[in-house]
Amino acid sequence: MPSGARLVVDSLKREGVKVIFGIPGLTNMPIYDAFLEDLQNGELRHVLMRHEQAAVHAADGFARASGRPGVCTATSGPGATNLVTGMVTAYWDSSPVVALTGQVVRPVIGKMAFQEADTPGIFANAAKYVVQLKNIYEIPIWIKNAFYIASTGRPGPVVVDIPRDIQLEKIEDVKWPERPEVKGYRPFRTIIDPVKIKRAAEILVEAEKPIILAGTGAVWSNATPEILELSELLAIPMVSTLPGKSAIPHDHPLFLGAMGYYGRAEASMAALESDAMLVVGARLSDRTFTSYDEMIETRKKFIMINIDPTDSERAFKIDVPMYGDAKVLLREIIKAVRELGRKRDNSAWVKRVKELRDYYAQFYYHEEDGKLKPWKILKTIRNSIPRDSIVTTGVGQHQMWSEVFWEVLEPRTFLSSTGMGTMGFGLPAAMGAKMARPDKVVVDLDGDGSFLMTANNLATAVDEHIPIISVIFDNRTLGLVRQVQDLFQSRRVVGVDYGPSPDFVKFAEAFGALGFNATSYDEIERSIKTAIKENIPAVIRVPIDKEELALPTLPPGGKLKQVIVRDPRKAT
Amino acid sequence: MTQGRLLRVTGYYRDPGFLERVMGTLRKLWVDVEWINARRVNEEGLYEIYMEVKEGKNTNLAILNLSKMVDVEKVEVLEEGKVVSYSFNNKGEISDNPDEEKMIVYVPVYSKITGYSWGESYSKDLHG
Repeated sequence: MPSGARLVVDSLKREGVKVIFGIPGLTNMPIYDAFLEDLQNGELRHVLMRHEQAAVHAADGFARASGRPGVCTATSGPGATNLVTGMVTAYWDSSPVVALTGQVVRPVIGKMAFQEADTPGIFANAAKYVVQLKNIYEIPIWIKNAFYIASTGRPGPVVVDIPRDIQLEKIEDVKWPERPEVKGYRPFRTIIDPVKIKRAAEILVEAEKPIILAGTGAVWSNATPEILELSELLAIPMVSTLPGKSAIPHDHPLFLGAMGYYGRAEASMAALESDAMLVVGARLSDRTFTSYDEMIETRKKFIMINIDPTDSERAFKIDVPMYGDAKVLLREIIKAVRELGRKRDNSAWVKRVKELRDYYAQFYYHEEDGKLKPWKILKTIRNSIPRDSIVTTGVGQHQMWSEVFWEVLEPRTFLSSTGMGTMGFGLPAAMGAKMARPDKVVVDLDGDGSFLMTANNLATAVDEHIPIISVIFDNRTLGLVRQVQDLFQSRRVVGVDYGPSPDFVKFAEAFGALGFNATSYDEIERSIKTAIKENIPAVIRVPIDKEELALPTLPPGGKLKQVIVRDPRKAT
Repeated sequence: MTQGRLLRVTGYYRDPGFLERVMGTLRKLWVDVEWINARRVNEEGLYEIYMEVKEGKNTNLAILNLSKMVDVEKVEVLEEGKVVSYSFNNKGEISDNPDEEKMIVYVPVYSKITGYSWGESYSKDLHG
């Protein structure tokens, strides 16, 4: 007679799960007991993280790198509450994660039992869905449902909370569900409306200054080939959101980079100047369009493809909203465009876009004696690792430098906490990505502040032989906050500067990882190559001047046209 | 005519968290609820909530968000309507006696429905 815990494990295996990130405790311990043999025979792999937040980030990184839901587990009470930041991070970035939480036994739920937390209440607004199981019979169907909810429609994280006594119960007959059954849930349909498809094609064909904006949805629908085909067919320049960076190869001549608050100025300006914008899988967040008024005042036409129909109704009128899978809809648009034929010569617009790119380049690529410049560090790293390497980032200035200067060359190779902006995402997400794609080099581009928020998980990377490389842009400060204080709060820099602790090389070595202090571009390259060759976790500390700014930027609440590309302190 | 928006939310109740999440969807967008009636319709957990929400700049978005909340089948806006209120005393009798304890029940009266459900919408004219 299988136990509830056994049903949990078999349900996961039926969903194709191979890796679980987690930490055991009293209330999820039966699940651990149940999968012991599965670990021993290699059917499952458990990665013992050092904090539950990192377990979710790792599952999230696994999902983003593989395209399949990542799985994590935690015990009740503090184990479950520690998941919150990771889950809300996955929620905001539409990443499918399934979290299994242990819960105290049914008779004591709600009575402030030891290590009890109100998991359904806590996650009600911090995940796409949360369900607390009431009996053993619900296990197979609700684990199936959890994967279904997490990975369909707008993907997102789901929590399945299972009281310990249910895990320990036994039943004789198991009914394995063939399909999910969730009343009151439907994945959004792909609606191919020939009238809208034709109208979208007409707008693109007739536009003088068309542009494509790619977002997260382009990544999840694997729509990169279609976006490139449409772009090349009509010579349409492309920009992206920050997470949409992962959709477009940056060496494509028509790609301008990520637009938005800290995006490339030429990408933002081209987006503003365009007269028709095709939005593919982006929700027009306040980081991409900092002012809706500014974006619509050029009277451009908007075509929007989104899996979530409500996204087109959030901000302003979309001329042609289309709902469904981006890949499918783009194929239809391409077909319609081919039927219409190319009507306009976009060469003047393409030339203008090139002018913008050349103009803003003068502000980006400066050298400074005795200082390592972020753009050149990123260029050095890019040239030191294979084209299909995966990078993750933490959150802070280094993330903004990565937004502007990191060249994504293959889809799904740039993973960053963009919606929630969660510091500490980089290292555990890199570990998850490496577990999903062990054949790839995985590099965590991180900051000293962000890295240390989850750096205890370096111990896991070492213990579990997950050879990721963390490159720390070490400026001993919370640089992005400092920058805002410095530029926009009358230089009243407060509460951001760190002291000399820790020594990152000794820190890495204490964990059993390789530690490098790379003080030149050559040393960065050598360190990375050594780390790849040694194939064990590594930390490469790169010194950055505290005064270095993340540019371009905007004043707080500013519009894209107010972009700041020069260091304002030097101007005065 | 009513000043707010009359809604009927139909969904599936698993536990009281269903109501909690419906309310949370409104709370997150600062949409106030004037009154609410809710009941379980059948043993399969089908649940029906009638409510009046205040009109505001986020009301439409809240309705759309509700219509794609897991467990919610559909959200219907009851249009061209008004609210009739009935006052009952503790004996279940209609009463306007100011000295009696009373329960006020609001009943939406409407002639048109616009429904939203998982990205799809429809309209029904009840006079048609």
